[in-house]
Amino acid sequence: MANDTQQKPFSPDNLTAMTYPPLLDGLWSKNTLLAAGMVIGPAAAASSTFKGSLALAMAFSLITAVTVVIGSLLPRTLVYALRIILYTLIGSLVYIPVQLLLEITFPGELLALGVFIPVLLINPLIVIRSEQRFFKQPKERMIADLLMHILGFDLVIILLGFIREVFATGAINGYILGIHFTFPILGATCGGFLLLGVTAGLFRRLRRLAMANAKKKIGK
Amino acid sequence: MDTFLRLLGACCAALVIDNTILVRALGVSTLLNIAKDKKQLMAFGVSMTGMTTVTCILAYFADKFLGKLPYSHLYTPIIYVIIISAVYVLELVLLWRFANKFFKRTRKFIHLSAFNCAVLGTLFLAPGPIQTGDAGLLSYIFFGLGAGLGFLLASMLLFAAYDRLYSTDMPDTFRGFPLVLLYLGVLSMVFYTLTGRI
Repeated sequence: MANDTQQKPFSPDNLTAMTYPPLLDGLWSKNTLLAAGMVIGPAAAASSTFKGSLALAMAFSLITAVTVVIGSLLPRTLVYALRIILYTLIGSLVYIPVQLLLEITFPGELLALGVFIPVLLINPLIVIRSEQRFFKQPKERMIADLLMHILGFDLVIILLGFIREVFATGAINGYILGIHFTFPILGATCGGFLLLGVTAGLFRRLRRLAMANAKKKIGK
Repeated sequence: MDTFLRLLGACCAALVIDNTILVRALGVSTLLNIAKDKKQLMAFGVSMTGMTTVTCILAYFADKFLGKLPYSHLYTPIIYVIIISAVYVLELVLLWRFANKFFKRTRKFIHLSAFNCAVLGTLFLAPGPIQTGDAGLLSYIFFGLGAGLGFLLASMLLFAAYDRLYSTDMPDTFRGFPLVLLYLGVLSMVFYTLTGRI
């Protein structure tokens, strides 16, 4: 009676839960790169070309997914210091087949990506987010949530790589587009930070507009 | 004198030319976690500098061994992770035993000072090719020291502007995280210009 008419106080989290299914957290409200601010290094420094971004996305997806899933099988009774060591050891083992796969699929991009492939085995989704969020959920939901977080990163980094290559060089994959104004600085780390900052701001604006629209619909 | 200048060059290279945060973009996410509190930032920076220096020492001996093996690029990360893990455990034990107050203050982020892209990336970037491992031990030490100090330098630069980046005077859309990235981008541009890359 009183509870039936009593509404939950409005808050962005309530709104997100009502308007988006939880699986979309990793893509939208808690996007790995643009909202949570994780794995910024590879995005700013290494995603300067489209093909490089594809290679980075593939490496990140495989290393993170396999490492977190295997890591979820470790008993929680182990002391935290030992667990974190084991997560990174698992990541370093998963790295080997991923590196071999990259040598076959993206041989030209590996030199440019440099240290950003091996450092992915120690990325915040494995070291921090796994304990804070993923391992607290049932297995099926954990895998879906993890995949959404990975997809959220992949989509952003591929988009950034595309934009950076087009506007830094005026070409994409060697195909000249005829763009007259290019900004070579976008190919450097500083350009990556600047583009990421602008993209994060625009993404926040988009989220707030979506939340405002959703609030209007709920109000009606 | 020549050796000293070479070592100083290695340290300056890690501090400015190859600054961990602003040029290499390693450890940025970690930096964002600790940048708001000055004491926490200093403690973290010191811990990380110690971590990069000590792990570089062990990496020197590992690289000398790895340089002789085929396909070393595949299992170098495993060796480096073992090195970082060993130093992490040693750090925990030493702090708990001899600096218990400091340990209690830093225990919630001490794992972050070990397991982050900046520390692992520094080991990969340390001078001397993996195949021959002919860089001197002192070069590794100074490079590790410079990398940690470079992280601390970038942290202090961010801390100096932190309150302004999060103040209500800033536009709501860009306040906080987006502005931090833009600020790091401008600082990075300054470092690129100073080192002649732009």
